Amino acid sequence: MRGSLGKRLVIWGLVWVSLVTLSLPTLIVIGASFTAGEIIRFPPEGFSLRWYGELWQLDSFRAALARTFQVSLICTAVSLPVGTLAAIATVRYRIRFRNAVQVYLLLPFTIPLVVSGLSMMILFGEIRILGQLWPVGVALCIINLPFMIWSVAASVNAIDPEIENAAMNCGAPPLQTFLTVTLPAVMPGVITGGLLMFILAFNEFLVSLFLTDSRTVTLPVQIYNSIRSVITPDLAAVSVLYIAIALIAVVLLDRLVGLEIFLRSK
Amino acid sequence: MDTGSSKRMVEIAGVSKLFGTVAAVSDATLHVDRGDFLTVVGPSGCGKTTLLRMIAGFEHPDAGEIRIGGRRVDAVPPYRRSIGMVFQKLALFPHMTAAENVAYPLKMRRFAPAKIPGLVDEYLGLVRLGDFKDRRPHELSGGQQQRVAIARALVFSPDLLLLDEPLSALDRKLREDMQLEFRRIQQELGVTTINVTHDQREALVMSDRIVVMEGGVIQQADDPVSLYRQPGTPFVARFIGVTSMFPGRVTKETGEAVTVAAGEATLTARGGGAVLGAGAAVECAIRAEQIAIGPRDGAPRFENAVDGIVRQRIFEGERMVYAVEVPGLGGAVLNVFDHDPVSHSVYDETQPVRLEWAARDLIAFPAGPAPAVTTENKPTGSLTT
Repeated sequence: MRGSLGKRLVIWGLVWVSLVTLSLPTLIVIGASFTAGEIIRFPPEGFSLRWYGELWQLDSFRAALARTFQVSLICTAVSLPVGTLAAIATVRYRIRFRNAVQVYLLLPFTIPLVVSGLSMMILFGEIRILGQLWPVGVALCIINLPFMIWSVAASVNAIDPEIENAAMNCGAPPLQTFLTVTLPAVMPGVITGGLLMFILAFNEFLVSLFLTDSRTVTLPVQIYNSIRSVITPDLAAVSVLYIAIALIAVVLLDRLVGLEIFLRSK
Repeated sequence: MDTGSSKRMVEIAGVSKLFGTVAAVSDATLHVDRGDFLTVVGPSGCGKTTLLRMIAGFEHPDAGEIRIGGRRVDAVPPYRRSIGMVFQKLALFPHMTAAENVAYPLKMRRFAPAKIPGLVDEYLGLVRLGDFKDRRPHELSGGQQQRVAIARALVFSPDLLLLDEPLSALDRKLREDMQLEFRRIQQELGVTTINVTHDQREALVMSDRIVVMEGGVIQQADDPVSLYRQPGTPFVARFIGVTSMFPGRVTKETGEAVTVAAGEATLTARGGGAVLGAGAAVECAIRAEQIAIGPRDGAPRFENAVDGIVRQRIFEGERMVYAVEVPGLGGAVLNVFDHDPVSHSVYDETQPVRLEWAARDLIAFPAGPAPAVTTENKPTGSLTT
């Protein structure tokens, strides 16, 4: 009994230490963002939404936020079909060069982001698309695609390979089988991967730094630029914005996939 | 599709399928009559599932032809065949409710949308699932999932129903219930059915006809009673029922009956099909329930008698199961069922006994290279071989 009490103390101790260390920075930033004072500090001086207001007044911030949304949407939109089809093809079908294709698709993950950023900057410069926004979205899709593929592949692995035969046995030609049975069955992975891609693109800094200029600067790069000048509490407000977006993604994930995942348990 | 005049629903002629260099099915020929329930039974890897998948259209035969309703289907893709199938792991669509699963083949086969809800209700009613139509597969029990799969396979009135060991995952009680349920529905609808199983009991219980397969080859096709009474090969004798085998040599042949020398014993047997001349090596088969067990000093009851020692005794309630070692048959161990453990004497381990059986119950097959029976497919209740 005493042994079990000691074990419980240790386990709960570890749980609390982890919870606190994981959430403390977030809580501090949230607190700091509501300060009424001129500098970032914790505990905050007073309570106000002053810095949120100031942030919203900043045209450069609003424009960067809009661009970041745009880039993230492009990245997600490209990754959905590409990642889904690639995952289904490489996991499910005995296609030729399957292993090679798998390795090739996961390659971006193994290359340092600095290298990816630099090489894409050179390439985009050569083909004269540097300075536009959509190539940034495509670039972020390329570097993060392995996450999408992994997410969908997990779903593909979880489905019974016979359900496609079952659909054909029910009279569904191959395209109908794909649309009405295969795709819905891997939907949890597609949704998870899509949200992941959106969040990753929304946060991406290093490659974006290479690919953006003053006209196309995205929010993470914008934040980086402002840190280099003066650190004001509006940065804390931006951080809270990021936390809010991540939370929304988690809630969406739970709503859309949390239920779906239970579907596949037998 | 329906030729009407022919009573053959499925005709399979000389069908072979190779996987690499291994023949999964070789030169299979069989037919299924309209409205019949046929079971293909055999150990795993015997080719029965490959045969079924060729009928469904998921595999293509390397040789031979398959006709369904008189039409050759070799070049017809699975989604244009009028076949309902219940899969081994059911393969229900996880994102659809029971009703949507059952409606799916109707939609894909372009039934009039107005007719679909009525048909779905009718077939969910047939499998007694009317109250569960809005549940998804994971919200249903194993037996209920089975019923959805059956309804989905039958709702469009297919020419043919295929069952790919759908009952193998269920526990024994539920499996036996579902066997009767399948049979009830099959007879109610009169749908031609091909069932695949490794369970000899299931084959005997459910089928109008049974096909026994081994090593990709069809060993025998017959109705259950004939198959049980007259196994055509040693494999069938071993696989269906609990049968003991021992080797021997023919010493005399008089019409139907042959005299066999086995170990020190001289026994009278009936030939299992082939002509057996004197001197021929044979494999003798005797069913456990045909052997009478008694004391060594009792009055003789049957033509054949050997003395043995009880090595194992298992009481199963309605019967007593003995494994008896017979030194006079080269130490062969014979399985014996005594179906009246209430009034018959009970013999314990190491007790000497006499085994007797009639000449007509001992079958002598020409000895050949006997195909091995894998342990997992040994007939239930078998103690030793």
